[in-house]
Amino acid sequence: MEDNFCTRPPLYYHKVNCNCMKYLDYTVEDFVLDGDFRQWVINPSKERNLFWQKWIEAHPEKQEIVKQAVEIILQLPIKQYEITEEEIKNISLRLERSIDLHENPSAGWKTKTIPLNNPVISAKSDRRFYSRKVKRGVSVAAAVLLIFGLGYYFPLLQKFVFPENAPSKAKLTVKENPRGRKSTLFLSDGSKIILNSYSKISFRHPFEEGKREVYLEGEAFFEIEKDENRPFRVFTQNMATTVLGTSFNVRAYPEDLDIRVSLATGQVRIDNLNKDIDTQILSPGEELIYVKSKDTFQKSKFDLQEVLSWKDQILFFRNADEATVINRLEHWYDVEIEVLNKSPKPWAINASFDNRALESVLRTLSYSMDFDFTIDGKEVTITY
Amino acid sequence: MNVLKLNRTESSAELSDLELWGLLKQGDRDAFQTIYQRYLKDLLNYGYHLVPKKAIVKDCVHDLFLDIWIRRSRLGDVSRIKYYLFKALSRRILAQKRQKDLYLDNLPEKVPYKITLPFEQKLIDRQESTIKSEKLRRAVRRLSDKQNEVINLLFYEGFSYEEAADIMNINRRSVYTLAWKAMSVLRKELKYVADGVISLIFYFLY
Repeated sequence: MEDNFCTRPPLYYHKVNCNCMKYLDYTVEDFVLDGDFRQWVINPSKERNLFWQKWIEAHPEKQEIVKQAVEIILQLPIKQYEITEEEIKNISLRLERSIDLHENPSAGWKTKTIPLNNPVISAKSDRRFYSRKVKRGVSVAAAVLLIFGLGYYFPLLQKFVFPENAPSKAKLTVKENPRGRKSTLFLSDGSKIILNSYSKISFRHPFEEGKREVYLEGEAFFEIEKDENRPFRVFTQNMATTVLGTSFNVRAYPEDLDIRVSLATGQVRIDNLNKDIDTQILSPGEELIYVKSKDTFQKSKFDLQEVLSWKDQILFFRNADEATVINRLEHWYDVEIEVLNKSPKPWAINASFDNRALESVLRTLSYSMDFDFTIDGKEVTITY
Repeated sequence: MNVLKLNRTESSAELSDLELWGLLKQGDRDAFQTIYQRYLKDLLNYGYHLVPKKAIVKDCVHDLFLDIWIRRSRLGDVSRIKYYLFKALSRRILAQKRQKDLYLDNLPEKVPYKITLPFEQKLIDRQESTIKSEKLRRAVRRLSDKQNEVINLLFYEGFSYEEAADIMNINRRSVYTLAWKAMSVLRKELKYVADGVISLIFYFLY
């Protein structure tokens, strides 16, 4: 009781220890702020009713005060801020990502959790770098990774803990393609995913109830079986693409400056997980470009052939510059390309290579761009 | 404590705060998730009372939990997690506020709010009560930030005066005074309303 008194104005200090007595001097405010009184109003029990009934009978002059106090308690309005489920989810996601990143800072592209059936040794790991030579692919990647390190978390897929906290016995399945390899996945719901080389996808299998969620690093083409009760969601970095039944391409390589979602059929919705309200709906033929450095979306038309031909084993270029071509070739054929000297004229390649060997592709390019090349295992040198 | 292992199929809701916190300290990520998911919403709401700017509050809540996870093995025992979190968040936001006061007002995105009734509205069908509700709602808008914060902590979050004082980093007397003044504003507002309800109290008594 002593404790209670300290919180009250001095007025009550001299009061005896009887609960009933202290109430005699109570104002409306005091009643409202009294825990016992409030309990009675909000959550009346037999004993509380009995007590207060007696008390009011004994002190009829207090009836008006008690009445007002009851009114205030019952109608006590409270300022509440509006917080949506979406917001809660986003902040959970962000937190999980940060923790993953903290737990496993080196995890990213190169670390792996599943053994590949046909291991292709990454050429990069035991590579020697010659500073004199222009290593275009490498230098571009390095520059972009630096930007990455400054501002972006990327989801570390194999450790991704799903935000809903739904108890699940499903194992996290990870499919990863090294450079030079593509693969096709058939999911239990009938959907098909074609995973490009140098790309990784992970998901819980079987899917958790009521949802189909996959996490992508790199590029993949999705043909999704319609299921209105279970929207299909593709998470990439800080973006979520939601579909009902549709086919589309997602390109989200960590080293790229942007993420692209290109819709072939159906409809998809894309949410920026960094922001509360940044949602875009795509229609067939439209492409959404997420510019990482600006954290913004841009919508545009895309060239179906240019974006989707990779899944049919066609290496397709439209008006492609040198860096783009070389980067694509390195991924496609799992090689390192060194460029010596500078091209006398800018590249603007328009070409379609249907399932061709690297040598054949390079020969074709060399005619138009006027260079020599050598292929030595996984090392390619282009000389002007 | 070591024998306790959070089983995903069992509900972690049955664990006491102390047990849940113990699991977190051992690095149980499920326990951690349970904790933050249980309190995220209340923490955001409380944070907005301190500074109604989304970006700041969200960053602080995010950093708070990230910090807890990183420092988990060095954390002390916590028997009332909610209290611990509120206090930690308040400290964090106030520090931020001090740092950023200069340009705080320039930040966009004030958080929208509404004035709600936390308790079951037993008077809902009484016409006069809606007039009163409206009056009270208007009165609440006039309350100071501190008064709003106190009401939220005491009446909505259910903290004791001692806890509220600790969370707000003021003494208990100040908490009581703040609450008392807020109630005073509301009472005066009620007074202006036609004094039509006579039998209200007996509605509860019998």
